Amino acid sequence: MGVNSVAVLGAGHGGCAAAADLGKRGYSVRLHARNPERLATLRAQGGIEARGIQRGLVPIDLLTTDVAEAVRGADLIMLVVPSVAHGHYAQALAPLIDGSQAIFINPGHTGGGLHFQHELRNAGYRGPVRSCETVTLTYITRLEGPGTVNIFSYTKRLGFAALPGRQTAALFALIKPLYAEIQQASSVLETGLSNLNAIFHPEGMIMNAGWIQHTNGNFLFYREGFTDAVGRVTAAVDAERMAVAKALSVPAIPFIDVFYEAGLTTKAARDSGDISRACRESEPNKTIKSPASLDHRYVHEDVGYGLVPISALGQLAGVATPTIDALIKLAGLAVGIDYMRDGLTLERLGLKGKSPSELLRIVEDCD
Amino acid sequence: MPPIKTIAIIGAGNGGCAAAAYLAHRGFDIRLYGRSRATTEPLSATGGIEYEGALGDGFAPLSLITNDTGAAIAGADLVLIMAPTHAHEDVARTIAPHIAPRQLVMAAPGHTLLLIPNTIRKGGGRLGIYCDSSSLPFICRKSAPGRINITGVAQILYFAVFPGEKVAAVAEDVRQVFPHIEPTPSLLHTVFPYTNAIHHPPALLLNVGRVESTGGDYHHYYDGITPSVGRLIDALDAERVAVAAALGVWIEPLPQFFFRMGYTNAAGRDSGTAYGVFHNSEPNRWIKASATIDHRFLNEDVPYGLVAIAELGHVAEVPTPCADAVIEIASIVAGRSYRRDGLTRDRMGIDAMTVSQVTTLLRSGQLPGPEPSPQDLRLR
Repeated sequence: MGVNSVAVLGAGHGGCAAAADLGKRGYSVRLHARNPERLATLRAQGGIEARGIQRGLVPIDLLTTDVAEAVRGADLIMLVVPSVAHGHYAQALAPLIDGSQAIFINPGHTGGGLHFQHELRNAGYRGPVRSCETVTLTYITRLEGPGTVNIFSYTKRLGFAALPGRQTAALFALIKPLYAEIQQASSVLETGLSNLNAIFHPEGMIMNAGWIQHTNGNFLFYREGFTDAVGRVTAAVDAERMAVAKALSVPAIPFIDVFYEAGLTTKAARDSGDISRACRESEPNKTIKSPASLDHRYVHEDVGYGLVPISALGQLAGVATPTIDALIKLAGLAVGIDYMRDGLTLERLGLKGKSPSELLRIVEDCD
Repeated sequence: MPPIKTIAIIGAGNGGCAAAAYLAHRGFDIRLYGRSRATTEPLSATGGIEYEGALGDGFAPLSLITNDTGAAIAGADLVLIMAPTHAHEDVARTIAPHIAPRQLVMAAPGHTLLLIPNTIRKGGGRLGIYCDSSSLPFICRKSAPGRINITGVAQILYFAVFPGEKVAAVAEDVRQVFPHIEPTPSLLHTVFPYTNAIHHPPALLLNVGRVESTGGDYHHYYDGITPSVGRLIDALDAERVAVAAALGVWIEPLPQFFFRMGYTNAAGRDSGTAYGVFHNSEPNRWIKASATIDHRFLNEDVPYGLVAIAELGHVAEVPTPCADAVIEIASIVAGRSYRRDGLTRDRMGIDAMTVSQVTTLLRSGQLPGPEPSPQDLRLR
């Protein structure tokens, strides 16, 4: 049975892109936003104005602030919200689901599915769950106004896995018609440990914190911000991520190779092994300005929901991650948030006290 | 100890030249040792040093300018080490064979605990009394190879003696040389007022990309210390104060200390934050950032500042997670282990000691060793 109706939960950049793209392609779309103002413009103009790979005004079947109304009878529930909102949606969904609907966490970053399912259990849900996730959003997109979304492209070669892992093949078959670019990964640990944004965004932000705050980010983030020393710290973070993956027998590819294969840098830069150079020679990123403030997802999400769960998995696997831990500490001090407490810890992943073999069993079977 | 008349100054950089000019100007017999000919030759050519600034303009003749440590030290009443902390170990090794028990050895700045006295002893030096100050006594810079510009003389110079119980008598002698010293009970007390350790590394580390991309084309304090950088400095300061307190050393937090030193105004002090302190710091306002990350803000202030605080935190069982994080990332930035190269407990001469052992050692000068002391025998 294929997907006809999709409940898109979240109406930010990603949610609007998904609603417009899937709506245009003939799916029945229900779009949920927590904030009614988010939907007001869409109601007034009769849908989402799309640019890029889809064009024109796309009517949406249902615009609602009621999660129950959005998910009732939908073939697929797609969660397209920042990781910080996963807990909120788990609370809302716990009384509404029975395990029959697949849940696609788009994106799940690192440990999104584990966190979401743990929150469902905390909210009292005891039935089966079939969730699946990609590490990053299936679109490269940006809202260009309250009712206008520019969808630049689909994200290419995007790893995809289900939780429990034994459901991956079935859910892959279900989602593939929606997103042709997804590729089966061995587990949510593989997708989670391929979270490249977490590997280099925090360094770019923290090691330029003064520059960002003094000039409101008036420099080119990749071309000027990723100097030799920033590249060295990124390499150290990447080495720790690779070590965590290895200890858990999870396949992982070095940052610079992924960066190159995604078309983000030159072959010469890849061959040099120099991450700073790879960022400086990134053609698609060359004009991208720095975020204007540290109060940004490059810190909140990529540290709290990226570096923190990677460190947590390292702790579980008995692999020290001193560089990652130090960056988490500095990022927290810079923005006044204790990420080691508030981010995706082993406890929030539902993995506290688990051994590596228990982790692998949970990821495969969810028990 | 006889009154101090003859002083051997070890080091002919900015600090050494300022000390030579200042002390010769005040009538002491000065021998100046510099390691390299390139440094001493311009001085030898005139037989002394030209000075300008706070002392007025003038020329200070020196009785000896040499590259020979033995010649500089022989017969001197005071051996004054004027070298950056990261050179202390090398300097101590070089002078060790020449040190006689009647000579007072002083490091200004010191704040490296027992690194110098232990290195001198290991090198065969017959060390009597050692003392140090918390900072360089001058604000100075060479304006030409044979000329020093002394823009200020430190008004607060914490002073400590090893062994600490001799501080009163030694301070009386050293006051002839540096009238501004404030005697403290032990060498621990000159370690902690080293505030460069807590603000230089974070100010550079959280601007690494800007330094490398622009060659440091911004104002180090005024532009570089933003609210977030300031928060990190505040956190490091809190760790410094906590570790000191656990070792029985009371120190002022950065805002109060900087106000008393004249580096910030009352608004800066009252802000209670590093951000407020530096944004109300007129003397620091126009200071440019370092042109490169290969700079003493990391190379000296991390291994000889933050590492010392973290290591003393170990002794005192006070965690220093912020200092540890800065040390970790700074080491990767610099491509070397600042912890390994820095002031470890071993280098400070307090490895495997408890707080009370450290305190006793610094007060009495008694080194715990394989030979039981008479007191131990009595206890048995």
